[in-house]
Amino acid sequence: MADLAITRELNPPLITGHPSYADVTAKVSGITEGRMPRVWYYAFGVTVTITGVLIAMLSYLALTGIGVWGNNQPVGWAFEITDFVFWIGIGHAGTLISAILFLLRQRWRTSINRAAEAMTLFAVACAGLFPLFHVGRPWRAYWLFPVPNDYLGVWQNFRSPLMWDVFAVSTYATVSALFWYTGLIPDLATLRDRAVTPARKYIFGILSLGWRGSARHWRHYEKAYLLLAGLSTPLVLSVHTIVSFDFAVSLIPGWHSTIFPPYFVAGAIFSGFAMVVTLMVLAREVFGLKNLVTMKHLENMNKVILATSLMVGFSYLIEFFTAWYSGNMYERYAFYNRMFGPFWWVGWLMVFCNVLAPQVFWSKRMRTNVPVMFVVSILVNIGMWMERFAIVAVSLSRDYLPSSWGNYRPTYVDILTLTGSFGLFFTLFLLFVRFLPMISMTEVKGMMAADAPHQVGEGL
Amino acid sequence: MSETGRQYWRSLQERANSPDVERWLQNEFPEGATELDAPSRRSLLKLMGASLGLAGLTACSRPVEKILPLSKGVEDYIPGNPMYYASVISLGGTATGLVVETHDGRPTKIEGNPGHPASGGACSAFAQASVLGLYDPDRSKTVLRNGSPASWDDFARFAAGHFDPARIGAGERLRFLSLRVNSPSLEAVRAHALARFPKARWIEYEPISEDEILAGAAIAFAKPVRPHYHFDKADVVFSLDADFLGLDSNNIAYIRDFSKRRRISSPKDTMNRLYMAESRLSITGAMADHRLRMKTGAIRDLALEVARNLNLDVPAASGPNAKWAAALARDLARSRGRSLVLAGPRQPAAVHALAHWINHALANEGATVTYTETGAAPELPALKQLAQELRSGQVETLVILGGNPAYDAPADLRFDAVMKNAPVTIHLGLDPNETAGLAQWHLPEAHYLESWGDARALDGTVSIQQPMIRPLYGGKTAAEVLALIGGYKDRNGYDIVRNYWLPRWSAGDAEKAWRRALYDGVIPDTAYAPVEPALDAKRVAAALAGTAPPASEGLELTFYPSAATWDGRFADNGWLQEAPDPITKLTWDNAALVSPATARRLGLETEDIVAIAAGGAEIEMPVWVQPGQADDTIAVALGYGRRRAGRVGRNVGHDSYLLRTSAAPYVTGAAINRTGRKYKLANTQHHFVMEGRPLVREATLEEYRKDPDFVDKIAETPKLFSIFGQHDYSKGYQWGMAIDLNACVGCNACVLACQAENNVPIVGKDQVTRGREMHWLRLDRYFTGPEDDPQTVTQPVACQQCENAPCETVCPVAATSHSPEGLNDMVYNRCVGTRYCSNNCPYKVRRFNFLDWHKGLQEVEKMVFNPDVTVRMRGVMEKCTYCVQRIQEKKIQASVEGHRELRDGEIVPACQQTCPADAIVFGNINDPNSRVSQLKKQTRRYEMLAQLNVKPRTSYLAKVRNPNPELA
Amino acid sequence: MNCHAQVKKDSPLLQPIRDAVATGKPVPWVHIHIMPGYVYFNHAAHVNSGVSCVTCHGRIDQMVRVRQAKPLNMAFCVDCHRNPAPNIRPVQFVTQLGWKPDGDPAAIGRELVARNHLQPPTNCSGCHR
Repeated sequence: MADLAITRELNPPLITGHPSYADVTAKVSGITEGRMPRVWYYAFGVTVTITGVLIAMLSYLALTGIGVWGNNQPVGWAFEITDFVFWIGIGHAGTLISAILFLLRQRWRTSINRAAEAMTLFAVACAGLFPLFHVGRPWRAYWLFPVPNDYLGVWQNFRSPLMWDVFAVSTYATVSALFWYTGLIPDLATLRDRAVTPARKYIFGILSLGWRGSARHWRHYEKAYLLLAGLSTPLVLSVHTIVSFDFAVSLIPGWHSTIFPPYFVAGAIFSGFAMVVTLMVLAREVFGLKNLVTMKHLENMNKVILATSLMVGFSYLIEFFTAWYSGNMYERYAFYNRMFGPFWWVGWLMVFCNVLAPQVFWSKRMRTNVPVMFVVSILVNIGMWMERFAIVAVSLSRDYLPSSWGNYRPTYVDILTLTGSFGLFFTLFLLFVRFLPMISMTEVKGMMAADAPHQVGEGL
Repeated sequence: MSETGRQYWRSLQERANSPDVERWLQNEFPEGATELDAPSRRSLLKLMGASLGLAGLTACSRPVEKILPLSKGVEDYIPGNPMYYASVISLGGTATGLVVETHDGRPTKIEGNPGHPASGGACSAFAQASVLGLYDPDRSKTVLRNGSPASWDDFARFAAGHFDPARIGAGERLRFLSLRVNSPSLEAVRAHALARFPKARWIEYEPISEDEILAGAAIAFAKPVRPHYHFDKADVVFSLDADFLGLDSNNIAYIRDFSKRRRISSPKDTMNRLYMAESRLSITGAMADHRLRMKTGAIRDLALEVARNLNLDVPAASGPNAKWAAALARDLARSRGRSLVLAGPRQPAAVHALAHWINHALANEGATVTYTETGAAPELPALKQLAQELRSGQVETLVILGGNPAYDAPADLRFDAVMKNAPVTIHLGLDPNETAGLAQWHLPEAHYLESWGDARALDGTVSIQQPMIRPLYGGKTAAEVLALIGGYKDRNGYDIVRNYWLPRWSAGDAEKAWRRALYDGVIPDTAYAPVEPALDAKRVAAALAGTAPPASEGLELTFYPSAATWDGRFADNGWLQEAPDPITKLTWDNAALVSPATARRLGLETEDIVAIAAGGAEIEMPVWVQPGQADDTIAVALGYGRRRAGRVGRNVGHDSYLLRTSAAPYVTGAAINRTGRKYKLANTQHHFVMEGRPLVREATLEEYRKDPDFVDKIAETPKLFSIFGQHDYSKGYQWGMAIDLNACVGCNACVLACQAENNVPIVGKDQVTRGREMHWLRLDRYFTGPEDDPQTVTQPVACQQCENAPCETVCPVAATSHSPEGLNDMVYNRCVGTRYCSNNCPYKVRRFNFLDWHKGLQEVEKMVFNPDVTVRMRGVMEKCTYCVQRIQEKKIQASVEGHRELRDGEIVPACQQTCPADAIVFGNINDPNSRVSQLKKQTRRYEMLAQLNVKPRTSYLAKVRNPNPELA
Repeated sequence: MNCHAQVKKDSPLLQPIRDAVATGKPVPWVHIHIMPGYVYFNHAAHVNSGVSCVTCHGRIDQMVRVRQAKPLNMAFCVDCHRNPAPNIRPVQFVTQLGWKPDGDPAAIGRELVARNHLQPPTNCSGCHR
C-alpha cells in the first residue's frame, strides 16, 4: 500500500482516470467514427477557405511572375524562404517526439506521438510548396530534380545547397511518411474491425495491410518501427542542418556562419514543440482527451521548449559575439543592422518571443497552466518566423555595397500565401483527426499495463 | 533521343507558326515601358509555348523582307551579319559623328565615329538612346490637318496654293521657327526660300540657349565669335558654372580632352587641376579638385575677385571667398598659357566677357581657348519679337520646323496662346507634341536615322547624315518640307544633300569625294578656321560695371537641362527616362534640389511636395535633398511634365518651364512653400555613404607620390587561400577589365550603351521604386566629407567576372558557370530563377526578371533588339557578360581568317566603346602587353572586396585628386 | 539568277525563283532547321573548320523534300564539340556530302584538329549569349 503510494508520488501515471483498454479503443476510435463536434465543421470550413486563398495566390504567382511578391534587388529571398524554413522547423518536433523519444524510451511520448508525426508530414508538405513555387519559372522546377534529359546532356549542380535541400527534404518527407504509416497499421486494423459500413471496412481493410495482430505481425511491426525510428533520428538533425547550409555556405554577412547547423536544429525543435503544444492543447479541449494527453505530457513539452529556448538564445549571443570578435566590418554591420536597422523591430520581436517569453516555464505553475502555455507557444511560433525573416531578408537588404542596399516591403500576395499555408496545414490536420486515430491506441494500452501493476484492489 | 529531339523542334515550329502563339510572342518579346499596360493573365502552357516559340521566331529575319528583299541581292550584304554606316546626330545645334550598326536593315546600335572631332569614337547617352526613339510607336505616323488624318499630297496641294508668291507675296506675314540649324544643305534650302519670300523671317530657338555665351563673346571682341576650349592643353581649369563635362554642348569631346589630363600611370605623371564654382552639383563639379558651392548669381563676384587678384581693372566685389580666389588666381598666374577660365550658359554675358578677358590676360588665347567666327546670334530676343508679332496678329503663316515652342518657350511669352493668332500654323515634328496639338497642319518628321541630311559639329566639321532604314511612317525632314514650301529645285533629302555637296568638289572626283564623305562620316577641311579676335578690355569693364551685384537675400531658382529628357524632347524615350540621373540617381522624375542645410531651415524632407513660386507662376513638385547643392538655392531640371506626349513620357515629372521667363531663363528668385503632401520618387540608389568600406579608394596627388601603394594601406587584404584547388587560368585568352576611377566622370553613356547592346529592358517608375531596375552596368555614387559640401566619387559597377564566382556554386541547375576564358557565363534558357546567385553576389550586379518586362510590345518596338543577344523572359536572372556576343563574334572572325590570334583591342565591349573618358579597358590579361595588363600593373590597381577571395576579373584604378596645396 | 540564267533556265522547279526576281517578292521558303533564339550557331565558324553540311543537315542532296535529318539538340552539338575529330574534313570537301576519304576519316580529322588547333567551345557562352 504505502510503497505503492510512494511510487505514485514519484512517478505519477501518464494515463489518468483508470480507463480500460476498451475505454481507450472506444474513446479514440469513436472520434473517427461518430459525428465530429460542431466546432470541427466550423474550423474545417474556415481552413478550407484559407487553403483556397493559398491556391489562388500560387496560381496568380505562377501566371504573373515573382514580381507579385515584394522581393527585389537585393532581397531575392524574403517571405517564401522564411516560410519554407519555418515550416520545415515545425516538422521537426514530430520526428523528434516519435523517433528520438521512442529510442530513449520516453514513455510519456505515446499519447502525442501520432499527432506529432502527422504534424510533421503536413508541415513538410507546406514547406515543400515554397521552394517549388518561388522559382521564376515554376514550369521548369523539375530541372531541380535529376531527371533524365538526353536531349540536353546537362546535369544538376551538386555543389549547390539547394540541390542538397531537394534531397534532404524529399528523404525526410518519405521516411516520416513511412514511419507514421507503420505506426498506424495496428490502429487501422482496429478501425477496420470496428467498422460497420462496408466502405470503411473496405478502405481500412486495404490500409491495414491485412493486419491480424498475430505474434509474428507484432514482432515484425516492432522491428520495423524500431528501425524506422532509428532511420528518422539522424534526419531530425540532417534536414535542418542542410537547410541551414543554404545560408551557412553563402558569403553574405548574417548568412555565412558556422554555428548555423546546431542553431537551426535547436530552433526547429523549439518551434516544433511549440506547435505541438498549440495543437494538443486545442485537441484535448475539443475532443476531451484530458485523460490521455495529460498535464504531464504538456509539462514535459514545455520543459523541452524552455531548454531549446535557452539553446536558441545562446546561439543569438554567440552570433553577435562572433560578429563583434571577428573584427570584420561587414559582419559587425550585419548584426548591428539586425537590431538597429530599418527592421529593428523584427530583431527585438525575435528576442522577446524566443528568449524572454519561454522563461516563464521555469515556474511549475506557469508550465502547467494551459492558457499560459498556449500563449507562449503561439509567441514562440511568431518569434521563430521572425528569426528566419531576420536571417533571410534583413541580412540581404544590407550586404556589402551600400550603393545596393535596399528596402523590402511584402505585398498582400506574400502575406496571403503565408496565411494560406496555415490554412493548408490545419485543413490536413483536421482531416487527420477526422479520419484517423489521433492517438496511438496500441502504445497507450501498452503503457496502461505498465502503469497499473497487478495490485490488490487495483484490478483493471 | 534523336526521336524526342526531332519532335521537340517540330512541335516548336508548329507553335511558332500558330497565330495565337504569335500573339503570345509579341508579349514575350522585350522592351518598352512595361507597367504601362494593365497586366493580362496568361496560361502557364501558352507562356511556355511562347518562350519556346520565341526561340523559333528570332532565328528567321523578318525585317529582311520588309526592308531589303533578298530577291534582289544587296552588295556586301550577308544575311545575319551586321553592317555599319557612318552618320551624324545633332543636338542643340551641334553634331556628333556616329557609326550605326544595322541588322538586316534595321539600326540597332549607335557608336561614335572615331574620325569625327566631336566624337572620337565615343558618344553621349542621348545618342546611344536615340535608336530607341526611332522605333517609338507613339511617333507621328501621319499628316494631321486640324487634328484629322490627311496625306502628304493634301499638304502639297495646300502648300502649292498657300505659298504661291502670287498669294503670299514677299512673305511679310510669313514666319519660320526652327531649332538651331547646323545643316549646310538646309541653310541652302532656307536661303532659297527666303530669297523667294524676302520679307519673311526665320527664327531659331533652342530652350537650352547659348545666348549668354554668344553675347559675352560679342562684348569682349565686338564681333560674333564662338570660343572653343582645349582642355588637353590646360593645367589649371577654372569653370564658372560651366558643366562642360555634363550638359553643356560638345561635352563628349571635352570629356575626352579633359580626361587625357586626369589619366596617370605613375607617380611621376602630372594632372590638371579643376576649380569649379556652381550652385547645383554637376558631374563637372563632382570631378573638381576644388568646388565652391554658391548661388549662381554670386559667381560673378567670385570671378571679379579672381580677376582683381590677377590685377585686372574690374569693379570691386566683396566675396566671402577671398582666400580661395587669391589661391586660384596665383595658380592661374603660375600656369600662364596653360590655364583656362570658362563660364557656363547660366552666367550673364558680362561674366563670359570677363572670362575671355582673364584668358587674354593669362595668354591662353590660341593655346587653351581658340575662337571661330559664327553666324549664330542670341535667340531669345528674336523669339520674343515673334511672340509679339503673333500677339498683335501680324503673322499670317507660322511654319514651325521641329521643336516644341508651345511647351518649352518662356512662359511669359504665352506661346501656346499667341500661336493661335496666326491663321495658318504648320508644325513639323517627330511626335504629336504640345505644339502639334495647336497647329493646323502637323507633319510627321523623319528621324535622323531614316533620312538624308548633313550636320556641322561645333568646330564646323560637316558630316553627311545617312538613312539606315526607309522612313517608318513616311516622315520628311525640315529641308524636304522647306523645299516643298519654297519650291526648291530638289525635293527629296538625298538630292538636296548630294546636289548641295557635289558642286563643291572638283567635277572629276566629286563622286569619289561624295562616297569618301559617306564612308568616313566627315567631309575634310570643313572645320572653321580659327580667328584671333582682339579683346577690348574697356567694353568688358563697362559691361561688368553695368551688371548689378546679385540679390543676396531670398531663395535662388536655377534651371538646368535634364540628363534624361534634355529639354523635354526625349521624354518619350524609356531608356533615358529610366537612366538614373548621374548625381541624384533619380529616374522618371525631376525634383526641386535643395541643400541639406536649406532643407533643415525650411523644414523640408525628400519627397515633400512643395509649391515653388517664380516668374509670376507657381508649380508643385517634390523636394530632393541633395548634398553639394548651394544653400538657399533650388535647382530644377527642365524637360518634364509633358502634357502631350507618348505613353512613356506623358505627365512624367513636373513642368518647370511654367516658371521660366524670357527675362530670367536660367536664374530667378523664388519662394517655396510646403504643401504637407508627399510624392514618391523612384531612385536607384538610397544610400550614398560608404560606411568606411574601402570600395572606392582615393588619395591626393601628393599622397600618391609619397606612397604609390596607398591603395593597399587603405585596406590591407589578408593572405588569401582556398581549400579548393584553383583552376588554371594561365593559358589562352583570359578576359579582364580595368576601370580608371580617375578618368570616369560618370556621364551615363556606358549605362545606355550597355542597355542598347544587351537588350536590357526598362521596368517603369513603379517597379524602380520596388528596386527592380534592370541595368547591367550601374554607376555607384558615393559622397565623402561633410554632408553639406561633400566630395563625390563615381564607380561603374557591372559583373566583376569573379574567378571564384560565388554565384556559380549555388545555382542548382548550373545555369551560371565559368568559361575557360574566365567569363562568368549566364545561360538564360537554363535558368529556373531561384535568385540564389543574386543573393550570393557580393556586388549585387545580377538582375532578375521579376515580371514580363516585354508585355504588350508592338512589332516596331521589337526592331530595336540586338539579335546577337537573347531576349530574356520573365523569371530568369541576367547580368553583364563582358559583351560575350562581341567576344564570340571576333573569335569566330579570327578563326575564319585562318585561325589567327586576336589582336589587343580587337574586342571592345559596348561600355568601353562609348566611354568618352576611355576609363574602361577590356582585354586579355594573359597578354602582358595588352592595355588592360598594363593598367593592372599600376600601383593604383585594386579589386573591390578582394578579401572575399572571389578573385574579380574587373580591377579598379584608385582615384587621385589634385588639390591646391595652398587650399589644403 | 546568276547561274540559272543559263543552267536549267526553264526548269519548272525554278519557277518560284524566276517569279521572285520578276516580282521582287522573296521566295517563301519553309524554315526547316530552326535553332531556338537562345542558340547562336555560326555557319562560317563550322564550315571553315571543316565541318561538312552533311554533319548537321544529312544527305540534303538525296532528299526529294528537305527534312530535318539530325536531332540538332544540345547533346548532339556538345558531343561534336567535345570530340570534333570524327566530323572534321579538309575544308575543300565540306560541300561534298558523299565524301569518302581513303584512310580513316577520324585520323584525318584528328590531324586537322591538331594542325588548326581547333578548340570548339564546350562552355555555355559558346552557343548561348
